[in-house]
Amino acid sequence: MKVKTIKMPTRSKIARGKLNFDRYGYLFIFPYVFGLLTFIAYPILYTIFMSFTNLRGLLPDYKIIGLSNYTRLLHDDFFWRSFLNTWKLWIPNFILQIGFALVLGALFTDIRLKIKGGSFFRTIFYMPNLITAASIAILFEAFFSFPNGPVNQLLTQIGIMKKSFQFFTNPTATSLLVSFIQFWMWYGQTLIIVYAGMVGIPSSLYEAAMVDGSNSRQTFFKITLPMLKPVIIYILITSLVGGMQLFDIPFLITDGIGSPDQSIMTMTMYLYKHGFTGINNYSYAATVAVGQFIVIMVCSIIIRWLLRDKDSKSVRKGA
Amino acid sequence: VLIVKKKILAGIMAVALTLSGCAGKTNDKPAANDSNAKKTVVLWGFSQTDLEPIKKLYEEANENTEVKLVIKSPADYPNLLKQVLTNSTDPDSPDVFVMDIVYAKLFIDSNLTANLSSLSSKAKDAGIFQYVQDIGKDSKGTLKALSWQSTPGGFYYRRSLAKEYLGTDEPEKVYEAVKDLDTFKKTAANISAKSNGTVSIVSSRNELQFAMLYSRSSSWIKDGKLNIDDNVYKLMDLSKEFYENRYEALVPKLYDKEWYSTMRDNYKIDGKTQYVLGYLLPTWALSNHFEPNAKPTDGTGKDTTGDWAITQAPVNYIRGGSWIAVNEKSRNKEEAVKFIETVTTNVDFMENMARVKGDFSSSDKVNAKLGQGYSSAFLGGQNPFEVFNKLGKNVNASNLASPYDNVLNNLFAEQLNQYAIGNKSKEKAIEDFKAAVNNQFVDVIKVD
Repeated sequence: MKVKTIKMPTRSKIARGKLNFDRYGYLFIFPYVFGLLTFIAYPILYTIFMSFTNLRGLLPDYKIIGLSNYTRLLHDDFFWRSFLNTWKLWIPNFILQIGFALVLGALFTDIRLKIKGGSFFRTIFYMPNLITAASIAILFEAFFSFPNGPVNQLLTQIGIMKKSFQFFTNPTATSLLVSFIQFWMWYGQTLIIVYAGMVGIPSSLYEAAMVDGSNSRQTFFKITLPMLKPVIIYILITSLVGGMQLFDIPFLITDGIGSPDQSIMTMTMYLYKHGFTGINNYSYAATVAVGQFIVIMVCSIIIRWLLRDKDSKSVRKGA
Repeated sequence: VLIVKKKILAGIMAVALTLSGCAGKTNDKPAANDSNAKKTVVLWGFSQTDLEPIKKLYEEANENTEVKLVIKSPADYPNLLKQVLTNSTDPDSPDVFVMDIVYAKLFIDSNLTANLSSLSSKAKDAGIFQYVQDIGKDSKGTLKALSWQSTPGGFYYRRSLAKEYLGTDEPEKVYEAVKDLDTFKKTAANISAKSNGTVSIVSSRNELQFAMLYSRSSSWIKDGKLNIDDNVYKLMDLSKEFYENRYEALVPKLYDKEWYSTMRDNYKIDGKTQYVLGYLLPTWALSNHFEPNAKPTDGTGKDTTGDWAITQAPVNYIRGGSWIAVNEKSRNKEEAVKFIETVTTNVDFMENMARVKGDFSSSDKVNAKLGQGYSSAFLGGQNPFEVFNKLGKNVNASNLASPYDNVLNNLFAEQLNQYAIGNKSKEKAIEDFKAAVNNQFVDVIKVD
């Protein structure tokens, strides 16, 4: 490269202030730092600040009221119900998601099967993620609508049900449906990560296992799964963080009120309800946001701790 | 040389990046208003089809004024309105804005809306329905908003079905069969029995909900406390009865495909056609929903045009309605007040407007004129204005709007539904409703 032949100015020249490239660096990072401070740091700090005030309603005047929003949050049955609801929506979705991703990933990477068109299928499976949540919500609402939605028609015509079923007035059905949509939207994404993780496992391990006469199931449980553990933990944590913030699908599918009987009101919907409807209780909504942040953090830490690699130290020593 | 070039390049890039980082801080001052230039009234609303004709007519009548429409989606509208009214540095901030009845009181009772008491005598002269004026008043009785429309509700029904199951299709005689809630229920039961359950008196119990809530004598809030009107309890009983006995056609949502198919006798449950005798809906449903959807535009069902009629409902209710108010911080107040004056108290202008929009006006006088010699082919020759006028005069809706109806109605509907379909006892439903209100409105609405 030509650049190498250029004689760079000496330190002393830079120090004299003639050619100080260092300062340009600050200018270069300025836009990003500016954006970070304005659009990320400031809102976060302001949210935390707001949670200590009584800001609400039409006019922006408020008093600082200390921790009383937080004591309210601790005793707020509705908040804890929304917390449980969020888990109720996330768990089935995650189990399905990781299950499908693992099975499909194993099939695509199996050296004995050598499935063709793997990348084609991965693209197909990723597709639902490209559709906007609003469209998906409308689509599923139409699918499961009463009394003449396609699903109801199918189930009554093939004789599984005698009468059309009102999916959206039944809490269990609605919440399972939301879980299913979430799974359907995200398993493609998970599959790609799992697949990447599986490809990264040295094929010598599989070859050795084959030579030793292990079957597909044995290689999956004894080699693939243990080697994938870090990837699975990563998926678990990111999915948890995303799942705990779940908003769009349950919001859109229930007209924003979490019906039936607030059974699919998630934490973020609860925040929205307080901050952006009724009396616009911004301060309490901010408290819910901080509460949600703490809850997500605690859950993530617990999961990391539960799945910690108990003999990682010895492995590292060995390596 | 290369170093110098690099230095210049680096400098340019840094400047460019810095600029892009804080772009948008350019001067955006609105041009100073020329006294000869056109005056502008900025009008905020949530329905293009509703406001476009008003803009057009107003600009035709006042050549020096331009009405600038700002239309937002109905779901975001109340929040956007709150934002723009509380810090109105936005050049598009409204001079005049439309509010739906379910949150109108919030703005009327605040100091964000301007005093319009100068219009109150004109409103009286124009024969504006009393309830329209009353809802436009704040808690101290100052007039702050008015409306060009009135939305009393009646009972629309299908003539052929009425003839078959009630023995008559004359509006007065049909009214005898639905004249109060008990009679309505009995008629519902009779029709259901006679038709073997294939004909329902209403499409959905959702219709009952609005009819009953918007015929209350008091709103959700009374003296700062949650107030549960007798009508609310009646509504709960009615809904349960209608659901359990299938007096309703179980249409899950109004204003969607399934609901429209009931108007063409093409609504099926479990493969069997379910007919709907009538609908508890207001004035605007006629031109907005029945007329366009009674024809099989998508090729399904039969054309029921001409097979319709309207009569009074078991209760005197209203449904919906838009009020308009002036932004207290408007820099254009005079023009803004003039706009509201024209649109809501000028009888000639309102007549014109009602004809163009097909609205039922808020003015008694206008409606009398509109009704003269009018007959609707869709309603089999009936003059709807005669019934509308009767409905409008009977309505006593002065006290039934609260600032938070949009939220309270939803919270209640949740519990109502749970009770009606049998998931909860009445006591539990009421208790849960109270808890939900207490949770969201803490000290704003006290709950016993």
